[in-house]
Amino acid sequence: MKRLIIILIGFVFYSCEDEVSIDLKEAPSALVVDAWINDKAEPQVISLTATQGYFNSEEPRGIAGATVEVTDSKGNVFEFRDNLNGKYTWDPTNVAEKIETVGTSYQLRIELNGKVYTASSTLHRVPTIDSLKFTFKEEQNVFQPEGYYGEFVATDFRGQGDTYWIKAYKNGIFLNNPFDLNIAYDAGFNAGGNIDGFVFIQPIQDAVTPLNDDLDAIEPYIIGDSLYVEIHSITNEAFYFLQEVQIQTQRDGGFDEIFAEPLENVSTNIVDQTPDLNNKVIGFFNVSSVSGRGRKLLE
Amino acid sequence: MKHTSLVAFLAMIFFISHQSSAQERHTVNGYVKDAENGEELIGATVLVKELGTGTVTNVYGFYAVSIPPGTYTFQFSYIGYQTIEQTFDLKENVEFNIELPVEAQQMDELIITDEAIDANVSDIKMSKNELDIKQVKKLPALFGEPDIIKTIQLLPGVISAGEGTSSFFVRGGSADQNLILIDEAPIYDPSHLFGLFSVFNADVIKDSELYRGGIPSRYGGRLSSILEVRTKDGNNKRLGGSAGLGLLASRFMLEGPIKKDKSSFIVSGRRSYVDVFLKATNQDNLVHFYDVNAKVNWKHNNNNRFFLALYLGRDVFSFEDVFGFDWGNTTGTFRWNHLYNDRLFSNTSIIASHFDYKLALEDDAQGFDWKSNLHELTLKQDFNYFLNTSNEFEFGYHVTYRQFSPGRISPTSESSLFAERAIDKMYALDHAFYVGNQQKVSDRLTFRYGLRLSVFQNIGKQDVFIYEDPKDNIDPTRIDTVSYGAFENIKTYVNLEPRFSARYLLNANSSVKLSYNRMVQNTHLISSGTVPIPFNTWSPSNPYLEPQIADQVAAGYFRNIKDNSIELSAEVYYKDIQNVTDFADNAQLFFNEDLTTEYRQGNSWSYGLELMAQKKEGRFTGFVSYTLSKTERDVPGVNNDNPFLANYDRRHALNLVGTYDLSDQWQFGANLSYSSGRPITVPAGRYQYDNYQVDYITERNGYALPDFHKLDLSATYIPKKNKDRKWQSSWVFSVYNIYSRKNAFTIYTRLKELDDDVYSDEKEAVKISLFPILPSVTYNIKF
Repeated sequence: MKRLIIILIGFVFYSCEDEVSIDLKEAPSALVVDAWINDKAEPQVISLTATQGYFNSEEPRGIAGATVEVTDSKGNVFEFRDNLNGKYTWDPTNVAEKIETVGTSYQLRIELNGKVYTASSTLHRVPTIDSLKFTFKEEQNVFQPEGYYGEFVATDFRGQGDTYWIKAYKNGIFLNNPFDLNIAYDAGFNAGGNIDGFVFIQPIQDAVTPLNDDLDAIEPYIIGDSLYVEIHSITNEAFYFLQEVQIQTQRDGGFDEIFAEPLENVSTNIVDQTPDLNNKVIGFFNVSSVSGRGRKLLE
Repeated sequence: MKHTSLVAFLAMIFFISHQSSAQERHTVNGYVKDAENGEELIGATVLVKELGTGTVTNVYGFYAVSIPPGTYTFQFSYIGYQTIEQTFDLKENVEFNIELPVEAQQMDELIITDEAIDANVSDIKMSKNELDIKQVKKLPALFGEPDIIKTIQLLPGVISAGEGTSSFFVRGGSADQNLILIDEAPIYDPSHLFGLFSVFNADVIKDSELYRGGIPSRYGGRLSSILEVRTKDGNNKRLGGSAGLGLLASRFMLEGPIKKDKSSFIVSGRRSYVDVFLKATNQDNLVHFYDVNAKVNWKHNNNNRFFLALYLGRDVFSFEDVFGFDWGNTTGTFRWNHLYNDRLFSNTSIIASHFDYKLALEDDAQGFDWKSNLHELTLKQDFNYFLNTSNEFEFGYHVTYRQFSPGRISPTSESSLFAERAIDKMYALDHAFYVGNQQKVSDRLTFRYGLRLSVFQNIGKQDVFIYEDPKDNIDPTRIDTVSYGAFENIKTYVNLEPRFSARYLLNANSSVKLSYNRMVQNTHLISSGTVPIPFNTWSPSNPYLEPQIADQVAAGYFRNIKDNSIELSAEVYYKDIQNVTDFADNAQLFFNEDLTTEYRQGNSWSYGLELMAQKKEGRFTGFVSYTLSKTERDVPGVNNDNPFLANYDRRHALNLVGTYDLSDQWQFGANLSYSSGRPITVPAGRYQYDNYQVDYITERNGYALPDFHKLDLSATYIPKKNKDRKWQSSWVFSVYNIYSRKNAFTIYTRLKELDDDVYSDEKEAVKISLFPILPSVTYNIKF
């Protein structure tokens, strides 16, 4: 809802924007751990990179030479092997150990240049997607033009505290615009909603129809488009992490910046066993169960 | 320690009153008024020439002088008015009301007398400025709308967050630490159009003053400043009024007697009319604001005076009939001035203030209506006791009841997915007992000292949550809920606030002053932005939020030159704030039932030097102000526990403000402002995270925006009128930011846009500036 206000305030005020060059203080680079793995039968990747200068547009630098291991509470060890550019992979095919039992806890351990980083996560349950729908709607307002709107139908489990990340793919491409980031706490937006054990609330089911490139209106589907939706179970900590990513990446500047809250780092669940101010670690480790369903929009 | 100081204080009071009874005394008292319209004059000087001493009228225009029998010449004077003398052969108490005529020839150079106005030097008050509304009206204004808050932002010790905002920052305090009063009623959000204008309509303002230090014990509740705005009482001699037509808004005001010299009224309104044009062009985006001020004033007799004042203001925004929001303040003040005896003046006020905002979205599935509000009701009983020419006592009791409703969401259609939901209301009772005395120790030395006892209670009805870890805002876990019934005490905070000021006259035209004050604030603004927005909510102190406490010392040197026509002052201050309210990183302050877990309180300290030179009379009037200051905060859990600069910290601020009356037809105004840039947080690096570009931040407020400077000019043209005409018109031409400098409002970063909608992976920094050169014209009439 804050978004709404911010868009509106931007609407009201004329302001002038100019590109400027600013001198930023050089910060020591930090280790970034991107460790979102799941129970899908495909190679799982944990990537290690370094933060880069703010105005540096190069591809992030991968970090090689680390030992990356995940162990579960049943004693299984999943070894992630260095696969170039800081990507460490483990392939679930043709191995006995699997990520599969809900309730199992997982420990991540990274050893790099004599330092040890750890994190933990638990595999949570995920509901199946009952159906995908496309509905033709007349123009409702300038923000919602005429066209086909996608929607998924799934029901949250009974019992409070299930958290999910809903990922949508349009024609095989993951909708990764920050404004399309879709997360749920039980069947609602957040813990305070107390919407538990129901079908996901409409805005969450509807959010699989992306915004246009200008980010000022929804872009409906057209005949021939395909939609694939996945629900990933995530830990509550991961839910809050994504909420912060959402807040930070959805900033769009303008007059509302003066009302905006100060920029802050998103949180991390990676623990540096020997904390060191000049060698910080950021990032997140989460293990998900995934359910998915696809559909093509036909005439 | 606290108790000993209280005992010592009471002993002092006893000593003074004991001493005073030794001699027979008579009292001369009354009101000093403007001869033209019957408005009371606040702060007019009453001098007993034979004794070389006297007093000034209080905020109700009342004075009392208690002296031994004899023959005395009283001299009544006020800036811009003729000085009048009156001789009394004092054998008994005398009631004497006087009306001062306006100085005949404003254009003439000041007529210098032996007893010229020297309040800057002789008054005990320091760190205080009065704003002359006539001068404010002559100064250049944004969109031609005269605004006292924009002028306040130019005063020494006051910092602005940027142009186009109605908030101000006093001596290292945040915007919510200012107590903004209109006819004694607090205004919770003084902004129209998100701060483009303030809620104060210049046509009805009689008097306004800003205290940034040396705050008397009758004021309390906020840490950093008191802005007291008083509206006109209404002309009790003849019907009159004014109207104005500006680019964005128009105004009217009507005032007059209900019963001549006894009772009067004033009513005024202001409304913006951009929406009228938009409607004409078939636009569905409507924006407007309005203000209504009304007051009835009834002087029953010299011993009993009543008034009732109302203010109502609102902003309304609506977009395509889809979204809408609005906010506004409503206040009401009923006041009774009563004279119990010749020396005991009483003021009883009942004050109500209300602030609310609403957001609404029309949609079948997601339609909602969101409301949040705050009510308060205050009873104030203040006494002034004019003991003798050396001691002026004040004491009183204030009690305020507050109700905070942080938010209620209700569905706007039956199919809306929103269920009716509300965050628990919060309630508080705030008592304050105060005493103060202004004591003239010798011809050179005057003290003012006082104590304020603040007893604050957070009361039910409320369910208070107990958390496993009250600071865990990421995943708050409630382990218990304690329910409190209506008016049941949840938490009490008792604080003693000592206040002290001293003035020592070095000679007839220079003095040194010193002050210390402790202030306590129990209403906290829930916002981590730099400038408050109307959608912020407030919270009382509670088990998770301690009162904020500020201690400030200030010292100053005051000097008048050129026969008091130029006032100079230099002040230094140091202010320390305990429990300054801040919020956790990534705090979720909007509709959060576990909001208490987001609170982080810490310390703030600020120090500075403030210089001012002011010329109040003559063809040329104006002031130069310079502020050198620094404000830092240290809040555990914020910025890796390291101290950081406050959002509104500016090292230097320099303002030159002047008006020049060329002739009866032409008057000119100018305003040149310079300040160093305020700090903002910028990322130090970045990383890619699962396709999201995330900023890496190492330090809060580590980057300073570029310097700010601009020049505004204005000209007022008053056409000659023929004698038969009853009304007088004037034109005010204003040019804002005359050399069109693109001052940085802020700088933010984003992905570089290569082409329409094609973004590269590269980041860029973008400066936002608000107002280029903006000419405007306003037409005013007065009758």
